[in-house]
Amino acid sequence: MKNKYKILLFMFALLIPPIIRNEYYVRIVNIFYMYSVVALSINLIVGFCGQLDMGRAAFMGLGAYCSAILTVKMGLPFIAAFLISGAFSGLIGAVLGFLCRKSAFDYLTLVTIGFNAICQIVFLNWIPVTGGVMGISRVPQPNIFGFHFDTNTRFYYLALFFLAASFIAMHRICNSRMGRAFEAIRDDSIAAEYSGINVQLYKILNFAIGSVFTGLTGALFVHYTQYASPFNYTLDESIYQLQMAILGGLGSLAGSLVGTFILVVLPEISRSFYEYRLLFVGILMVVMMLYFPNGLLGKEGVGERLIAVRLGMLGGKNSRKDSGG
Amino acid sequence: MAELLRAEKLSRHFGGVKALTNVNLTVNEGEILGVIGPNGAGKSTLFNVLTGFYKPSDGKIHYKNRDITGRPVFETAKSGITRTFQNIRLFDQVSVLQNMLVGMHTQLRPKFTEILFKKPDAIPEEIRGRKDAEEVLDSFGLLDVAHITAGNLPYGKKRRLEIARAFISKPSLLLLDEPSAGMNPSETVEMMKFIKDIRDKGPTVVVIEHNMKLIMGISDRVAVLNFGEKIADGTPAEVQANHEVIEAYLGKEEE
Repeated sequence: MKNKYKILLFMFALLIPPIIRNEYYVRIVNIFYMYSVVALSINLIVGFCGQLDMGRAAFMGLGAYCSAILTVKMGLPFIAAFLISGAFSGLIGAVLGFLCRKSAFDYLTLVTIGFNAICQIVFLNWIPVTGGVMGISRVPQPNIFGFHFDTNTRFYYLALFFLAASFIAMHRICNSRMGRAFEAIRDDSIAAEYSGINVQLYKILNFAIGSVFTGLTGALFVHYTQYASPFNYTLDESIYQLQMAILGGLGSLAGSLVGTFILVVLPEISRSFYEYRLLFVGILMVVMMLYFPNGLLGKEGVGERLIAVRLGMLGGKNSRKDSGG
Repeated sequence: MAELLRAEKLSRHFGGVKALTNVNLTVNEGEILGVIGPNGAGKSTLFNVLTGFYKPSDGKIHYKNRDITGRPVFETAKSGITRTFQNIRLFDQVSVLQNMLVGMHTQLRPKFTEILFKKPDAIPEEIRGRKDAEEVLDSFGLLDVAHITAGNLPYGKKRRLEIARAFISKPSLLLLDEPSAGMNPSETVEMMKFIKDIRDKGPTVVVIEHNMKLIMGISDRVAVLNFGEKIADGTPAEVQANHEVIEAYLGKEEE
C-alpha cells in the first residue's frame, strides 16, 4: 500500500470514536483491535513458520493472569505489569518451543492443545494464586504515567496504538532475514537447514516472539475487561482465534485484520445473530475453502483476483483464459 | 592443489544395509570431482554424510584441516559446504528473489533492533543482499523471473535457481546431486558449461551424475562407487579403462 493511503487509513482510525459516538460500538472495535494482534501472532506461527499451534488462548491467559496478579496482588503499575506479562508469556513460549523443537507438524499441534488444557486446569484449580472459578476481579484499568484509560474512547487510542505498533513490528520481522528464515522452514525445513538456518533455534524464536504478542494482548484485555476469568481461555477460544487467521489468509498480515473483523465485529451486529455465530462461522469457512482456499487475502485471494480483473480489463485475454474451465 | 576435504574410512549403515563402507575420498581445491555409480551405490548417502545430514557410523571427515565429523547440517553449511538435491528443494511459496536471500542467510546479519526500528528497505544489509542477489540472478539468467513465486517456475529454471541459491551462499565446496536429471541433450550441454563457469567463479564442485557424457566432459577426476564401496578414482580416461568399473556397469564377461 502506498504511503498516502496508509496515512489516510490512520487518520480515519483516529476519527472512529467521534464518528460512531456509541460506547458499545467503540467497545466492539476495541475488542476487534486486540483480537487482531492475537490473529497476527497466530499468523506469525502458523502462517509464516508453518507450525500449527492450536493453543494460543493459553498464552493469552498466561499474559492476562500474570498482569492481573502483578497489579491486584502486588500493586505493580499497569505498564510494568503489562510488559512483564509479555516477557513471561514469551518465556513460556520459548520453553514450550524448546520442548517441541524436534516434534513433527501434527505432534506439535497435539502438544499445544494439551498445553491449553493444562493452563485451563491450572487457572481453575490453583486457587490461592488464580482465584479458581472466581477468577481475579477488580483489575485496575490501564494507567500510563498518570493518564487513565478509563472510558471506551480513551482505551480506543491505547488499543489502536497497540495494534499499530504490533502490526509494524510483525511486518518488519516478517520482511527481514528472520521472517525469511521462518518461511524457509515452512516451505522446506531440510533446504532451510542447508542454507545455514538453525531450524530448531528459529522454531523456538518464532514461538517465543508470537507468544510475547499474544501475552501482551491477554494483559491488555484483562485491564480492559477488569476481570480475569478461567473460562475465557479455552480450546474453543483458541480454535476461534485460529479461524480468524485462516479466514483472512495465512501468510498475509492484513488478512489477519480482515479475518478478525469478520469474526469479531459481524456477529455483534445484532444479539440474535450472535446466537447463530458458530453456524455462521461454519458456513463462512466452507464457502471460503471453496472459493478462496488460501484465505481472503492469501494467495489467489480477493486482492490478487482484483488485480487480475483489472489486468483483464486492460488486456482482455488473460482473464478469460482462467475462467474458462 | 591443496586438499579441501578428506573423508577417511567413511561408513554408514542402516540396520543391516551397508550404504557406505570404508570410503576414502579427497577433494582438492578448485577441481570438479565427478561421483558415479549404479543406482543404489551410495552416492546420495555420501553427500548426506559429508554434509552432516547423517552421522557416519564410522570414519572421519576433515574439512579445511578441521574435523567436522558429526557436525549438524546448518553448521557445515555455515562453514561453506552446501548442496543441491536430486529432487529439487526450493522454498516454493516465496519469490525467486526471496529464495536467494534465504541462501544468503549466513552472510546478512542485521541487528534485531535494526529490524524493528528501520524500514526493511532502509537496512544496509538488506540493500546489499538484494543487490548481490540480483547480480547473481542476472548471471544465472533468472533476473526476469525474480519476483515470480518459485513454485511456479518451469523445471529447468527451478534447477538453475537451486544452484544459484547454493552458489550465493559463497560456499567453498558445492555438492551437486544429479544436476542434469530430467534434461534433454541440449540442456545437458548447457548445464555442463554452467557447472564449469561456477567452478571458475570460486567454489570447488562435486557432481553426482548418471549422464556419462556430462561427467566425463567436465570432471578433473572421477570417483566410482559400487555397493557402498569406492572401486575406482582417477582421471576420466583412467576410470573409463578400469576393469572393475566396466564390470560394475556392464557385468562380467563370460569365460
